[in-house]
Amino acid sequence: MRHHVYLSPGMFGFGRLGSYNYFVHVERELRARFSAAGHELEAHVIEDLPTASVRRRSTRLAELIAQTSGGDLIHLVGHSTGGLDARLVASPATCSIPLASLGWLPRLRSVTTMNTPHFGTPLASFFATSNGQRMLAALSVLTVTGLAIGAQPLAAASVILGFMRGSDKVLPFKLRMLDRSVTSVVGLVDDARSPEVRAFLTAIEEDQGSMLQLSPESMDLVGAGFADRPGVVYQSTASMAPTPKPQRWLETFGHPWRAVSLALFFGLHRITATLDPRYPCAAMRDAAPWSGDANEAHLQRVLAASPPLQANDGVVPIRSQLWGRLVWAGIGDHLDVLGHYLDDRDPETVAPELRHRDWLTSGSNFTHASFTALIDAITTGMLDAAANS
Amino acid sequence: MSVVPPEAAVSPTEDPVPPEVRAVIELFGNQLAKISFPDVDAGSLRRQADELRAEAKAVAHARAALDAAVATFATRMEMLTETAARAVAYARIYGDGHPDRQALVTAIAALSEPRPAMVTSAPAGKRRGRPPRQSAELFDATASAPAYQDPA
Repeated sequence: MRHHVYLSPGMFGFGRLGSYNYFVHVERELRARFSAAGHELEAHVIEDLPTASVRRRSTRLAELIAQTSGGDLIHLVGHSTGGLDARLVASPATCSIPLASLGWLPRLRSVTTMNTPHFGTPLASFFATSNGQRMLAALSVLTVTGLAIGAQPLAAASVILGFMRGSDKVLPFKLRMLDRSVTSVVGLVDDARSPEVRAFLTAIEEDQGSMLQLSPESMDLVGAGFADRPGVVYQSTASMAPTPKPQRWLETFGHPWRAVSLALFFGLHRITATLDPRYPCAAMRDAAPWSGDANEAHLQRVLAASPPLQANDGVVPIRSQLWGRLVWAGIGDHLDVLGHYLDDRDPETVAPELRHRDWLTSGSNFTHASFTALIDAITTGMLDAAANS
Repeated sequence: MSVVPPEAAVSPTEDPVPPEVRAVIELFGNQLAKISFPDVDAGSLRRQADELRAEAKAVAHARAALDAAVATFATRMEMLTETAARAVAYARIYGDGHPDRQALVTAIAALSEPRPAMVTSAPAGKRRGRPPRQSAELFDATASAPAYQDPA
């Protein structure tokens, strides 16, 4: 049986840049499992701006599916904001997408959301400020260089870290430093790819529509309007990173990059842990967070306790990530779940395209075994959805 | 003084000593207790019956170990087949990305799809010669030895 999977990137994501595919590990692992189960899988990566409006991105997604899916079965996989694109395009309530682009909906079998802010994230509110926008661009370029070329620009990361800390009296100076650092990091990218990276950054600075849309206040309204499509399986993955502890800093002793990277991650983690009781970034039943019996039992089983509202993966609160059936949960940061974790294999023994590169040091100790279990769970859900249709 | 026969602790259905032999031992244990024939008396019969029961226990333990090993073997076979199927899938994906490596692409194309294999109770190889005689009571479990089931 032939399937198409559409992979939609989110915050800090970039689809493809040059030869580097942001979903390279997810795509490879999904294809391998489908193939081993006797199915053919064709993967498509949405090459749209990760920070653009969810409505605009979902329209683009619908058009791409209409053009490329033939008559085969369809699965949507969205990471971070990408999960909202998938939900919007599948929702029977959507009226923003031309019907001509939605003829494939009867062949849609599953929607998988990975660490998606279904109930918003406080970090989006931070990035929606004028200074936050520059931070988002700086962090995005750090992600691009880190994942695509494996560079660890220590100086630039230190500047970004300084921007997140301290008093605002020196803000103009910090902003200049930030912009200079971004330029220097882009300079690390080889000549062939730097125009693409520059264009990507310019686009991010110009269109950050989704940041406003992902704020807890906005998602409060969105949640009331997005309905799930009957007959489609909705499944999710959710993760949280360890909370900052002195022990983590000791583990970075002798590794300057890891120390700065960890500090940067914890800065994001702290902002994301901001709690507004009126907009708690979670499904609530009465006064306690509640995601259904099965999901709560799953969380308790793998995390040893029901995670609090503040627990997050550095970008999205874990309780905001729960939608449909929770198929995998664990300790991991926002990009670990895509296979962007610390690869401790000897680089000489691994082909460059198969290497895993860490995003930021989060102390999650996410491993290949964690990634394998996550992809196994997603694949099982997708194949079951196809078999039961 | 009453004599408690050693087989009393073993239920008749589990006792490897055939009922007709047990009847002989009982006769020699009671009415012919004081009679001894050349190499045959109550003591020699009981001793041989005890030796048989001890061997039966050893066989039962060995069978349990064999059953466990066969189950583990089946599990490992299933895991290996799954891993090999995924390995072929990985290799094909890798080969698709490296069309310039013609020898590799050819080798991958020549791979056949790993399929789950039937697992029997004798995984180590074919046994030569006539099968040994088996006591029906002892080896009834042969038919119930776990065989590998194709998950498909």
